Amino acid sequence: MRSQNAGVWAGLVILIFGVLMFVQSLSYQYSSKLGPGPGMFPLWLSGILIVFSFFYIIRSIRKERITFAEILPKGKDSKQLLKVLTALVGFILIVSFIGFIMTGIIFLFILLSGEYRWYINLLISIGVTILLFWVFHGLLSVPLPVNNFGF
Amino acid sequence: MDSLLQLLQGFETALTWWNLLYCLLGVIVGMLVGVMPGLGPTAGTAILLPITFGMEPVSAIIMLSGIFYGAMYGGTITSVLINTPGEAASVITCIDGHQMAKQGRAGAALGIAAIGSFIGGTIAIIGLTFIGPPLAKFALSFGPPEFFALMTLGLMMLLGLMGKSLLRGLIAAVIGLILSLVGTDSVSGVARFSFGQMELMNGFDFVIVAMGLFGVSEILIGAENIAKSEKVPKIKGLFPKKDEWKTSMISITRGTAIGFFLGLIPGANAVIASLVSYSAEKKFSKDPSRFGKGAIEGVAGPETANNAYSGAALIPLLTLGLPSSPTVAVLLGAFIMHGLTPGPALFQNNSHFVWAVIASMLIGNVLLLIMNLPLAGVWAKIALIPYKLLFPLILIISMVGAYSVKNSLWDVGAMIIFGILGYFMKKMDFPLAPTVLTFVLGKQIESSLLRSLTISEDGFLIFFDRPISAILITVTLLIIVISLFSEIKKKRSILAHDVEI
Repeated sequence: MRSQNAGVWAGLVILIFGVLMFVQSLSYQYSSKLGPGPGMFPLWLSGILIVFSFFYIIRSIRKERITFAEILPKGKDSKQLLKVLTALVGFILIVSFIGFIMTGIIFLFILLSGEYRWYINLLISIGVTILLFWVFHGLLSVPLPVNNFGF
Repeated sequence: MDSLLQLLQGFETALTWWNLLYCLLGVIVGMLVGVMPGLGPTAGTAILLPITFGMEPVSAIIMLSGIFYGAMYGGTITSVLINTPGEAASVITCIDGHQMAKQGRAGAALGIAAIGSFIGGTIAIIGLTFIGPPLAKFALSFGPPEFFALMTLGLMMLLGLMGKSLLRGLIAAVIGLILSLVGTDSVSGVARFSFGQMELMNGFDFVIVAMGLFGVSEILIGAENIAKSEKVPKIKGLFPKKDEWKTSMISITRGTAIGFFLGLIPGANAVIASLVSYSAEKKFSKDPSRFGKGAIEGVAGPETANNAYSGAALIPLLTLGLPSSPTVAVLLGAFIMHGLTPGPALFQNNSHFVWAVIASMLIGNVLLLIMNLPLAGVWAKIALIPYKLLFPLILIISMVGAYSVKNSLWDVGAMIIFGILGYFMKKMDFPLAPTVLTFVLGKQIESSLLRSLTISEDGFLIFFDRPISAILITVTLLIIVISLFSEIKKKRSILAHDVEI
């Protein structure tokens, strides 16, 4: 996996995206008596994208080979990256159940873990989350995802 | 003079307590954003957009412009003190600025940078005052074909001047265009690309796309290598030596001219402005060997250029509705969000708003000068906040911002997905600027194209029938040809500074 040509894969993703959009654009009206319809622009754009993606794939094969190993982080860095992503996704999944403050504290705690001693970490997590809740929810009346108890 | 009168009326609005406060808040936040390595003005402005939702349009734009400006000032501080550009355009300042700091002259470097930035920014805004309205009037003679031609030209200049690969830039631009088409088409009422999802019926919100592509992706990349911090040199004495004033002033003048001119061109960015200024200073200097070892002109010129650039970049935005760089595109998105469409109509219908914003920029510049000169040392300390503490904060604030757009966690998820997209785009060296620019302009591009074709009697030839659009399209095609040529000859890497992100 590491030695795979990332450029080719990226090009394939773009190609698939282009084809998907192209097919979808066919279901919209291309033109009417008055002029072009909603289908014209997307059709041409996705068509152009498909052509470009071919060029890009060819170039990735012939000229600029970039392997996955070069672009993805390794070892400790990749763990850090995964930690961030997991925390982000986890936040979204949990927050409607246990509310912003709880989830926020967990979120910050996970991200700060390993950087400070656990009690400082906890202090920062709780402090920042409550501060944010107060500023956004209390002061600025910005709606936040809360649980059934309102926080 | 009409402009002057309107400017004075603008000051009336800008000098209310609330708007002054927002201006101050904006420039402070901007400086913080500029000072912190890892968070550029584009990402910072995008992340703070949601906060402005509840505000009056004038106040919101005043604050966001303040951030835009402040970031330019703030980036200088870290460049000089810890050799880390706080934002892309300050890269050049690192070269001589940090050397000056090492020689104990950090104060002089920061001082001349602040003064130069103030002069450059102020003159650019004054230029805006006088060039703006006539340009807007001229732009009123633009019909759909002219707008389409203009936008295509702007995009091609962006693609042609920036980035290492025209192909990648084009792909990025087309992706942005397609993304902008998701949602209900305003002309026909057809819901496009919604794939049955209710949340997609209105398309992606600009804030979500901007925050994800710029902010979140930046953090994902930063998560991989957390920066180390150096000791900050002390700051003594804020001003250059007496004999250096004259050369510095000349550099400042040159920098203003360069930055102003480049700001007017869509597609240039602040990095190019400071780069060109640095090269010019070196060329015009009596003793070029001093550059790289602490030549004060190497700080004065580029810093002035990048602030003059920021002021001038607002001219195409306000008069033609054409953003000349990603950060300005974010500002454009903000305008649209608050119900104001930049362009010639803006000067006509909402002139008091425009002048209030212009007036507040002048005020902002003054505020920044005051804050920079005495408080430089304080700002420098902020640069020392460890990134490991900073990025979780930025993330959670971003999520709050994304949620607040429509009370929807779906949006937060979408932002993260855009973040991952942005991450891969950056890794694969795809420029992000074209994507966000086309996303913002997408609907307008399509509607001007469709309207042109509808009124035209010979299809696409309408673009060549009308003189203005014919000129614009020809220039666009020229740029495409030139870019292809230079790509083949591989001379593009000199201009490859897609780093304002």
